[in-house]
This record gives sequence, structure tokens and C-alpha cells, in this order.
Amino acid sequence: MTAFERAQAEVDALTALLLENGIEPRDVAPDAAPEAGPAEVSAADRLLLDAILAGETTAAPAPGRSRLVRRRVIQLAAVACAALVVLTSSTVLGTRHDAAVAGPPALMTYGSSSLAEVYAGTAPSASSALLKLADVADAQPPIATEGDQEVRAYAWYSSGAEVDGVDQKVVEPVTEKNVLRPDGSATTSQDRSSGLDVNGKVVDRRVDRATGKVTGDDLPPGTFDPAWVRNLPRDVDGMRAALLDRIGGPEACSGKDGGLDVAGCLSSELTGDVTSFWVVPPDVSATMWRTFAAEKDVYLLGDTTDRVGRKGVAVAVMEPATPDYTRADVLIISPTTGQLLSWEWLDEDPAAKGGADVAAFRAITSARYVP
Amino acid sequence: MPEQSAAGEFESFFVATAPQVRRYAHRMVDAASVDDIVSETFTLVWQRWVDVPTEEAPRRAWTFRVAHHRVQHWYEAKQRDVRLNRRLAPVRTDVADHAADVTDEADVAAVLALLPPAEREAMWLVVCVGLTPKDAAFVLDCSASALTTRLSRARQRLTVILADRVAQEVNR
Repeated sequence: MTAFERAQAEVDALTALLLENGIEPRDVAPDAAPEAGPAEVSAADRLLLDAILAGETTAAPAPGRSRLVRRRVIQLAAVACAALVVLTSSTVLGTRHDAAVAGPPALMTYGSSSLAEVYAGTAPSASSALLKLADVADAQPPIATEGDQEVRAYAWYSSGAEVDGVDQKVVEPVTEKNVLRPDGSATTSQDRSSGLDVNGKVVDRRVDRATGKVTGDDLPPGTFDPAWVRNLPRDVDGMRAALLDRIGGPEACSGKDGGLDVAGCLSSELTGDVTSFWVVPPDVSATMWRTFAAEKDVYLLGDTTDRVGRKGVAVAVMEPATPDYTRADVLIISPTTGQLLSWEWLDEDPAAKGGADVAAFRAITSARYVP
Repeated sequence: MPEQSAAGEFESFFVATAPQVRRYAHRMVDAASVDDIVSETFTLVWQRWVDVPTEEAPRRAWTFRVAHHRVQHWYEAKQRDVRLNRRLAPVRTDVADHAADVTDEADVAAVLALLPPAEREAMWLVVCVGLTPKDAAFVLDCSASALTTRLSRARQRLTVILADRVAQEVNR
């Protein structure tokens, strides 16, 4: 069963659940005029349509301007929050350890290329570096593959939460632990974690008072195939086909209509799927890097240090531009093990220091089989 | 800007799709912000009309993706407001959560209002709007596995919520 077939099975189960409880799954407009048919619009939407066609609407700023405004708001919020943190620390808590910094994370620095070169498509190809990293991964001893797969990470994610009785989507630091069992069941738990310092590095959670449990979920047996990643093909063509099939096939990765291209799909699968619950054997990582090495729009950023202090080699996969953002997926790979250490989503923002905003990141701090 | 001949095509698309986007926005943001989401979404779609897919299903998914990003921006702005106001002033009460007003209604929107935003959004798109999982993953900019996980969690939560309702009605 493909990933989309599993999703469709969930849709069918949800639909059946609603019908069993006497709830019609299709939505009904709460404000629809009784006389309005399916091919008619309300008076308000008619006015809106006329205004759009007349060029009178200004509510949708161009992405560049939107980001500029957004950036300024974030900066103001950061200044206000930072000032309050300093005030609180010095007058009430009397400690210098509550150091989580508000605002977007600082960008990391890279040894070979700038992000501007990546966005412009002028950075050097990462192909040869990826092939070297593949050789490093191949030289690692095989891993034992018995027991539960346990993946731990530190990340900044966008997630849902309730604040003061209002549902909110928030970006907050989490320390997560995902466990995948041999029967395909899984448990995921996320703790509100410590923040980042001014250099974008993780503050030790033991000295951050904000840490604490947030969420946890249990997924039933059969949810995942525990052997999926360790059974991935060890040849480039097979690996590419297997990963693209997982995301909907090559036609879903054509780069047209605002969708991802092949490199973007591979990156999406690697960061959002392969490394989420599974432990990646070294030879699978090696094949992964050889697969990326064969793709265009994969650029070398060079040596860096990830947010938990590990040396790595950064490569950037450019996603096709969308109406709202231009995004580079940055993969940071260990030069000593050939394993993926971290990934980041960096959205182009000419108004920001370094030319980009961090949309999300994840540092994999541990991935192992636990007997 | 698209040529005048495109205006009719956009109008037909708007008439067919705007009510769906409006209902989607109604389930994701407060009532006062629904008009802004719809307006911003279709203004951008019209500005980018030459780039918008011509086939119906991808065009609808493209539009919902724009709306999804508008909703994300709304949440980010709201979160900043809440954080600032929690520190600088008493909690504002001028932004009401409309979901609380409909939780006694026995319709799908009332049930979905009890889910976290990410799960509610995924379920609304595929179950209520009728997007395919592939199109919904495109809209939400996530993998099929991530979409499945959200739907699975939504189903687990709804199973408990609906069972509780049945129990309450039995005891009434």
C-alpha cells in the first residue's frame, strides 16, 4: 500500500466514523443564503470579485513586501520580549540562565558559499562532496537492526496549541522522541524545549526554565512498516524510484503547478519521512547521497557547525519557488559518519540578515535500535 | 496582469471556488478575519493567473495552498499578539473563537472545531472539501505520511469525542 493509499484509507475511515454518528461529512456554509445555488455567490463575494478584477484590492501584498513587514513585526516583538527577559532576569529571578532569545533563529555560517549564491543558482554543485560523503557512509560498520527504532531530535516546528482559549499555530522549540516498534506501532512525544542563544545554538535545556512536556501520541500496530528504510534499494535508480513512489510517483514531482521537483521530493522524503521514525543504515545513507549527487539544483554550502555543536557539511536543495516563498532545504551531513545530522528550511528574505529566514529545522541527536 | 479574456475564466473559477475557500477559512480563523483570507487568496490567484494550473483539480489545490499560507500567516500574527499582550497588558478579549459557539451543533464543522488546527485542516480538506490526499499534501506542503499521521490522530480523537457524546446522551 502506498502512502497515498494509506491516507485515502484514513479518509474513508473518518468518513465512515462521521456517518456512523449521524454527521454528514460534507461541509455546509454557515452563512450561505438559502436561495443561493451552487453556481452563485453571495453579494459580498460578488463585490469582492468586482474589486479584484478592477485591481482595487490591496489585501494580498506581494511576498517580498509581506516578508518585509513580517520581519519588522518580528523584530519589534523580539526587542520587546528580550527587554522583558532581561528585566525579569535581573530584578526577579536574579539568574543569567533564562537565556532563550525571542524571534527567528539566527542563521548558521557556511564555509564555501552564501545563501544568496544558492538562491541565485550560482553556488557550486554539491555532487562531488556528496559522493565523498557517500564513501564515508559506506565505510561505516553495519548496524544491528533488532528491537525498537528510537529517534531523538531537537527541532523548531510549527504546531497547533491552545493559548488563552484560542487555537493557535505556533513555532516553538521541542525535544522529540519517536519510537517505532517491530509491530509497526509508534509513540511520539514532544517536550517544550529550551530556546536558542544569539548565535542560533541550542541552550542547554537543564538551565532553561521553560522546558516541560507538551504532547504525545500513540499510533497503533501496522501504522508503519518498520523495515521500510532498511529495505530501501542500494542503487541510485532504485532509491530514486522508491522515494518518489512514496510521495506519489514521478508525476507528483514534476516541478510544475507550484509543486516540488525531483530533488525537492527526495529532500522532502528524507527529512519528513525517512529520518522521522526510522534508523537509517549507513549503506542506505550512502545510496541516498549518491542519489542526491545525480540531481541538479543541489548546491554545496560547505563546512558548518549545526545547532547542537556538531561539525558537518552543508548542502542545499532548492525547491521550486511558490507563490509565498522561495525555499532552500539545507542538509547537514557528518563528514565522519556520512549520516544526516540536521536539516533546515531557509526561506529567502532579502530584508533579513544573511538573506533568509529559518522556517523550521531539526537536529537529529540520536537514532538507534533499542533492544 | 492577465488579459481581459482571462477575466471570464477567473470569474467562473471564483464563483465555483470562493464559497469553498470561505468555509475553509471560517473553520480555521476567527470570523472577523474570514473576508481578509478570501480576499487575499483570490487577489493573489488573479495576480498570478497566468501561472495558475489550467486543469480544475490542480487549480483548486493551488488556490487552497495560497489560502493555507494566508491562514498560517494569520496564526503567526495572532501568536505574536497573544505573546505580547500576555506580557504587556491584560489578555485581549476582542478576538472571539467562533468554534466555542458551535460545539453544541451536530454538524461536521462543530466536531472539527474540537480538533487541533493541523488535524482539523487536514481533515477538512480531504473529507469535507473532497481534495485527494495527493492534492491535500500539496496544499499543506507536507508528505503523504505526515498527512496520514494527522488524519490518523484526528480519527483517534474523534472516536473518543463521539463516544463521549453518545454516553452523555444516554445518561441525559
